[in-house]
Amino acid sequence: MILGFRYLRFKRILALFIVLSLSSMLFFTTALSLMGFYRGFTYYLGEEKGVIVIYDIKSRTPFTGLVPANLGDNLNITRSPEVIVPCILRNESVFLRGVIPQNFLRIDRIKMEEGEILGNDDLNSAIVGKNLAERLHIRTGDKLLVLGVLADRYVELDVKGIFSSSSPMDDEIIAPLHVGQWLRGTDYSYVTLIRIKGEVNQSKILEELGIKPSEGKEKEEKGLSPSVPSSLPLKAGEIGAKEAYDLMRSYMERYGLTRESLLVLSSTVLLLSSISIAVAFRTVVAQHRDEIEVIRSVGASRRLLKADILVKLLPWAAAASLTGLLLAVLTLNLIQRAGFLQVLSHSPPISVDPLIFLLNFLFVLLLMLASLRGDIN
Amino acid sequence: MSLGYKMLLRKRGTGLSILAISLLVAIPASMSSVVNYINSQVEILGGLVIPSKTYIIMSKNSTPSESRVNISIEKLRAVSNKIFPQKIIQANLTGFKVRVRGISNMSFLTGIKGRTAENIDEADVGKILAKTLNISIGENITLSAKKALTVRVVGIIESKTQLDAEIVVPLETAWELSGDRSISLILIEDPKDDKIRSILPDNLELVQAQCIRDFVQQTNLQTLSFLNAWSIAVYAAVSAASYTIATRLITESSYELTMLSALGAKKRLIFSLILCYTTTVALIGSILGISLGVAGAQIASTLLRWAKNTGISPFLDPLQAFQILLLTLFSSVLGCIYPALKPSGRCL
Repeated sequence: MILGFRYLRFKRILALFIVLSLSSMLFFTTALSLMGFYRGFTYYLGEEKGVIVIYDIKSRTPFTGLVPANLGDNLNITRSPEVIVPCILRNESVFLRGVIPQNFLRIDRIKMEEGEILGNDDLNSAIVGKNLAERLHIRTGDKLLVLGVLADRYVELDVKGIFSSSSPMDDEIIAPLHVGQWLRGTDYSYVTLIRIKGEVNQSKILEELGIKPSEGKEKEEKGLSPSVPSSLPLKAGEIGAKEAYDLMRSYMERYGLTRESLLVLSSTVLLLSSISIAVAFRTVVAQHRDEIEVIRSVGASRRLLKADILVKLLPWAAAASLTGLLLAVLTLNLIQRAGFLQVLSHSPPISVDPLIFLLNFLFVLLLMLASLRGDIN
Repeated sequence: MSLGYKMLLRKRGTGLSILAISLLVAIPASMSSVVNYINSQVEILGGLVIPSKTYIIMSKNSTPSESRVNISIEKLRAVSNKIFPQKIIQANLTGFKVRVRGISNMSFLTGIKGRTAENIDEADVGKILAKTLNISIGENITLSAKKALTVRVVGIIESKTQLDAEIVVPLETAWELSGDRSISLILIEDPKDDKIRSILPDNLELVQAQCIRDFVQQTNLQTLSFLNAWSIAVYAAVSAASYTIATRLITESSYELTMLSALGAKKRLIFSLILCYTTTVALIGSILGISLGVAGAQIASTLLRWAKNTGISPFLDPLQAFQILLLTLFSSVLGCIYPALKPSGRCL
């Protein structure tokens, strides 16, 4: 402490603390949900490094492209052709991922919570993600009527088990590849994307596939857009290969959604609540007007007084940021449990980023400095 | 009362208080307007896809193999002439569990290599099932459900539907295997939708195979639900702001409030004055905030259009504006009650 007097009263600071906490909560609720959405989406095709995705360059979403299913079939690498398709189950919108179980399990690790894993001979069965099973009250042995969205199809599937993966797949149904192809309304020779895992890079894969990277569009897409051999029923420049994370990030960037833009958006929320913080600060100063005048009359300079108030309020600001964070995490968990926190039928993971906390604390500190400067003067 | 009210409104901090509330209200207003635009675009895109008219009639809250349909086919003929009653059962085929589908009119099957089954001793096998179990045309297979039956495979189906993983037989064969003559579902194509629902009994439902509209509505609803839940944090902040506004007002107007009580103003009057002041600030603040939020979102979208040539047109429904207004007033009143009660007690 710079001044030895204890002139700031707890009860009076409480109002400022509440406003700071709730403004921080608003910021954290916005930032954590937006960043959770960003993280969930960018890790949608795998969190591990070294997963490369062969995809349709022209697709505007990761669910709508089509590539030949046999791409890379002759390569000695782990490959998982997949069809990701939106559908309706028990009047809810969900996503179904059609996979070849044996290949899929070499890339993704899933834990069976109950029932059995999907086998290659299970033609009309599926396993359901833990979150989805909880939300729609699905159990092993149930029969599901899955209705198509992109195609005029319906499918009846037996639930073979419930799995958890700590990934967005926990909100999905995993079924055999052909089920995905039925619901997508596509031929058996096409899939949405192919995931590849191994000690290879994109250019090596495209080279092995016999696809030469083409010029022009390649630079525009910042990926490898190949010229497809004439044997494939696709035009040149329609297939690309990228790391899973980079691919999903590029889809987000097409719509202007970057990590930075989402952080700026969240900060705008805090900026808009800054006047409330300023009002709260002004209130605290007004409530301590008499004490401040007494301290000024005994010789304390304005600068010393400002520094003293700042030092005394600093722990309160830190505590308010922390309280705001805890309240936001609690609120988001409650919202998620109630089923209100969903984007495209997936629940974004809520994880605390120290950078977000730091951003909030610095912002609060800056606001306090600005308010202090104006009010004490 | 009106003199006291005017006196409080003329206080120096009123403008700042209105600004504080309006900036907070601008947050949900701008977010809602952007979400409204996105949802409307999704709905337009969803509307561009014309879903084909394939429907199934089945028991309510059931699945095709568990469903039992009991309705006169003749009644249905009035709404469509493409009606295909089906029976779905589980059967065993050399230790492998298979789905057997009995269809009344096998002629509607397309993409068959070979021919369609014509009598009780014949069957068609889906391409995927045939590949998994190594079944080929001309082979005899024994299916066992309640009864066992040996049938000859006369065709391999490739329809790109679930039929490709099933054994498809005439309806009579499915009835023979299951031992009962019930119908699991009725597939209808191009029905006169408005009529068909009226002739269905209560225990049956009409399900459209392609549900693009439902999907769009569901995803839009998810966004709106989250937005509404997230707004709780905004209104909590409005409540806290209102608390500090009332506290500041009382601190800065302590002289005036003490004078009013000395002149005989009762506890209730001072409470009402503070409440009226906060409500007025909240009302002006929310009207300003709604305008600011929508205008801000529109300015941002215009800038986006200039910079990236991909603009959006945010808008707010009158009902949403009214909802924001009401919630702001409610949370403001809630926030000011405690400080408003305190001075009225202290002054008198």
